[in-house]
Amino acid sequence: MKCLVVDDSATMRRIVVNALKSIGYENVAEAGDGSDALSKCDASIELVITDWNMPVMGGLDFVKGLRANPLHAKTPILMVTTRSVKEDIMQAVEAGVSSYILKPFTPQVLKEKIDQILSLSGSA
Amino acid sequence: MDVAHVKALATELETTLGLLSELVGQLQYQGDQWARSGRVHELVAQLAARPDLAELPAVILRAHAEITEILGGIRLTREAIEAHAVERIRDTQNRLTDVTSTTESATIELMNGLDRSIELVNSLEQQANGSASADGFQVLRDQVSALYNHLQFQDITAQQLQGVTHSLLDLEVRVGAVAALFDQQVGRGARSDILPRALDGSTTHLAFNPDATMKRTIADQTMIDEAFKGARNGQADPAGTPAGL
Repeated sequence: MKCLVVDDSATMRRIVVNALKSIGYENVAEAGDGSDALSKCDASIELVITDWNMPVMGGLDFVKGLRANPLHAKTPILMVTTRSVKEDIMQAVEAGVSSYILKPFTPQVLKEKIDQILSLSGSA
Repeated sequence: MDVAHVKALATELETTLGLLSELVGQLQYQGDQWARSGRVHELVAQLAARPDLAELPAVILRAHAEITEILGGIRLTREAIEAHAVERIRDTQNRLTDVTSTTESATIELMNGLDRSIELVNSLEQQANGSASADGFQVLRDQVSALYNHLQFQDITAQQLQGVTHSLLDLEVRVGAVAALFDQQVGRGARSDILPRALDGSTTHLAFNPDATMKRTIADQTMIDEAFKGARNGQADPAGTPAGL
């Protein structure tokens, strides 16, 4: 399964990629913002993990853009962010996010959420 | 430059802005007086002709001189605001940017070290060729992974620092707007268009979250899960989200 990790922080991308590899996801692409991510979202991407606050194009607009593409209308999207206000969660759901993790996270929580969204989308 | 210093600077600037605000109020009154100063000499000449008001021309001339002096003070104050307050804010912003950059570089170096540690553990395990406990090597790998995960602090503190920098930028604009009020007093024209730019409080489209924090617990994630579930249940057909999720 090919994953795409989207975060403007090189540190955070590396942590997420490392956590993904530790739970068996070796094929991981990276993007530094939403716009970069949209250009990398070809049909091979089956799981997206994205931050919210990013320059150029933020996570919310990226998710909306991705959902507008029929190829990714149902691709599981996990948002990993520091934003915890209820209104933020509402906006994330409306944009089409499949699950939501608060930073700082543990690899266990990441695995739990990925398993959950993949099983519900039938991709597991 | 740590957060305590930034806070102290912000407090100091807040006090200064309060004093300046009072001063601006007083100057507004003085300015009204000054606006009529073109008539000072005409008025003095008229009053000099009246013996019952013999001392008044001298009082008016003295007041006029004082107002002129105050206007000189306004110019100096404006220059002082630009030279000190704004420059100090910019200096603080630059230092914070340096701190973020240095911390990020150091974190990347730490990660490189941790990657090398994992390679070393793997290599030692191969060399041991089953003569040592595989569990022991796995414990070492888990420890290194845990250290890796703790480095999330860099991203979160960087967002906090960006939040402080953003606040300082806002403060700089406001101080600039106060300086512009002095321009109005000395007839250079207003720059009040600057002020509204500083008032946009939305963080949705920012490249950072100023409320980012390391103080998250399992309970917080549980609350997020509940809120997410509630939001999804309140939405009939979330765009493209897998059904039943």
